[in-house]
Amino acid sequence: MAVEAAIANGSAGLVAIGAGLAVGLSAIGAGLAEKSIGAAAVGAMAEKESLFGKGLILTVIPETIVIFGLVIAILIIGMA
Amino acid sequence: MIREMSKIKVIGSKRAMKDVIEKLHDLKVMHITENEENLKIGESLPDAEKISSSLVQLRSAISVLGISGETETKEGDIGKAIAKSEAIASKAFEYMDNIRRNDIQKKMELLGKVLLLKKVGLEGITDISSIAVFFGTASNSADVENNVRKITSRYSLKSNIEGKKEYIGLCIDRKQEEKARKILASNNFSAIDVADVKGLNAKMLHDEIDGMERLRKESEQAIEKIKAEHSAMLLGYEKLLSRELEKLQAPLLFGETEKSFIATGFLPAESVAKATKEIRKAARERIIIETEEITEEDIVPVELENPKHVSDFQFFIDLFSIPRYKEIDPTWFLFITFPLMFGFMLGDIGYGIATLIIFWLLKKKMPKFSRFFNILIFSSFASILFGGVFGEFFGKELYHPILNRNPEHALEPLIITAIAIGIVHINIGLVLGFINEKREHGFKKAFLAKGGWWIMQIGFFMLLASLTGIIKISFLAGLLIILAAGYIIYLGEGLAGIVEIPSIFGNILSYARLMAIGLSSVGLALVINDISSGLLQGSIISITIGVIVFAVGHAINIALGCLGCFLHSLRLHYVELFGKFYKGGGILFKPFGR
Repeated sequence: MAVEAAIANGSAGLVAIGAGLAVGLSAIGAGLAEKSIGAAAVGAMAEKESLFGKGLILTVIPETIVIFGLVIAILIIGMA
Repeated sequence: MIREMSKIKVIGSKRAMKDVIEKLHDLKVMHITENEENLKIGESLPDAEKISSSLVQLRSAISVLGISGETETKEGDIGKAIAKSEAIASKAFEYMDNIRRNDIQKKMELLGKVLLLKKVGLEGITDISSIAVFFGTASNSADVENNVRKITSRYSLKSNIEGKKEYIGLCIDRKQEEKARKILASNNFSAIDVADVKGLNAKMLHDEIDGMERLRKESEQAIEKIKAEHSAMLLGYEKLLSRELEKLQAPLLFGETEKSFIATGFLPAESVAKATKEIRKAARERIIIETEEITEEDIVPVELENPKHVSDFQFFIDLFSIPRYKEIDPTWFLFITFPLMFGFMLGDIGYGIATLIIFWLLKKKMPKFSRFFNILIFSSFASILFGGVFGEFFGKELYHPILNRNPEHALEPLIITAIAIGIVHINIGLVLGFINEKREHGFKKAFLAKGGWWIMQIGFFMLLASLTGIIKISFLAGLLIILAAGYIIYLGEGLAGIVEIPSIFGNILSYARLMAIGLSSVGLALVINDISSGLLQGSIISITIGVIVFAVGHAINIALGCLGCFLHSLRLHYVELFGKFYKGGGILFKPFGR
């Protein structure tokens, strides 16, 4: 609704802000999630090097959150 | 591919055991596993203890001497090797002891104290019953002297300022000791304990320290000499003794009775015939070799066998987990899709050529990591290929792209392509998972566990189609199919499967990163090009800056791009693809003797 209203008003700026928020906030979310996993994974790797594969996987799992944010941002911009 | 293995049992008289072990070690084809019969565990052959103890000594000598490096095994007589390496080791230990035991630091401290004593005239002084001796630091020696003079004339006082401290040495009539103590106390006197330098003088200490230093120097030189002369020999003997010990301890994995032994192991199916013949011959027919069926309970060691360049991608398998014997070896899929995904993300003709040159040079420079760089070289070729598809050269659009990545045009086709790649990739994973399940648990289980996901996808797309109205299809039908698929998944994978349902769509959407990483790299390239092309139109100085911005900017973008594309491509394989079929946890085929 807000997007359509913004477009109707001709205020493309709001659309851009919306898209920015979608990426930025989701990136913060992913960062917070990865922070603790990454620390734990590095700790585990220091103990046993063969855990690299598992550590990498666990660390990058929350990354998808940003991708979701980006997809939404592109959709928002596409509406403008 | 995973190499086909056969399981064999070698049973024979204990008298033939040594020959069998010797032959197995030579052949280097059999992975010996622990004996599974209900038999006594074998004992290591005689001499194992002796070799093991001298090996410990040799290894500690090698580490003490700080020798390292690669050498050939030094072939030769074991007894001689033991004697020689022990002799060198004990010499090395002796020299090391000479260095360690001589506490020169401590002697230097004593010498310092003696020198201080000497300066206040107390060198070599010992307690005499009629004279009290004080030595220490005080705040004001003149004041002490004034006060002491008042009580007696039988004293001697010397002081010496060293650094910021004033040292004072006072010898006084024993009868006046208490008074002197008070005077000193009022001048902040703090006594220094001289018990440890009693009877020592500076010359003695000097000589002693000199002697120690000489010994240390000699020992150090001797150690250097040992290192220079015997390094290669010690390392070679270490290998020889390790190999010998491995042979002597092999029976620890065997089962044995009073007169016979049994060794169980796996070896590549194609070498069974030859190995059997050779072992029989070596044991002079005193043994029987049986080939056994591999059963469910057997933990079969795994050796991956792939063509030359495909095998480079085993690097990723080693990093993750070795497949189990009955699993599909995913190396081929990594070989095909990893570079493609990397290329799809980096996708730029110029960047591809640049990385190709860089990684080729790095491979020449570091042959140890050639497997890793080969992967990157393949990925660079893929980048050039996709650079052609996107029509990009260092961020500049050369011609109208087949698939657009430049933010100037619409991006929907790109995102749809990325998701489509995801759907294909995930379904490849599901097919492989189906095959794995079928191999392990049969068709029914495989269908329930993996087939449900396909039906789920069909239902979901029907739902999507009916909602968007692209195809006229009943909404209800889609919903029913999804529910049915959910039930199948529940049957196949239990409640955990139901919880996982949203994740398959998350997994597919995750492939949107193929677009996202690429876009960020293109965006940065465009900015760099914008800035530098603006600068290139000015004076000479601004042109110079423009060139620098162009070069450094693209270098950074390439570095970031490689890192990002590598990790994200790897992640798509490890998480999204492997998650669908790969369990891993196998053990590596390690033939005895290799």
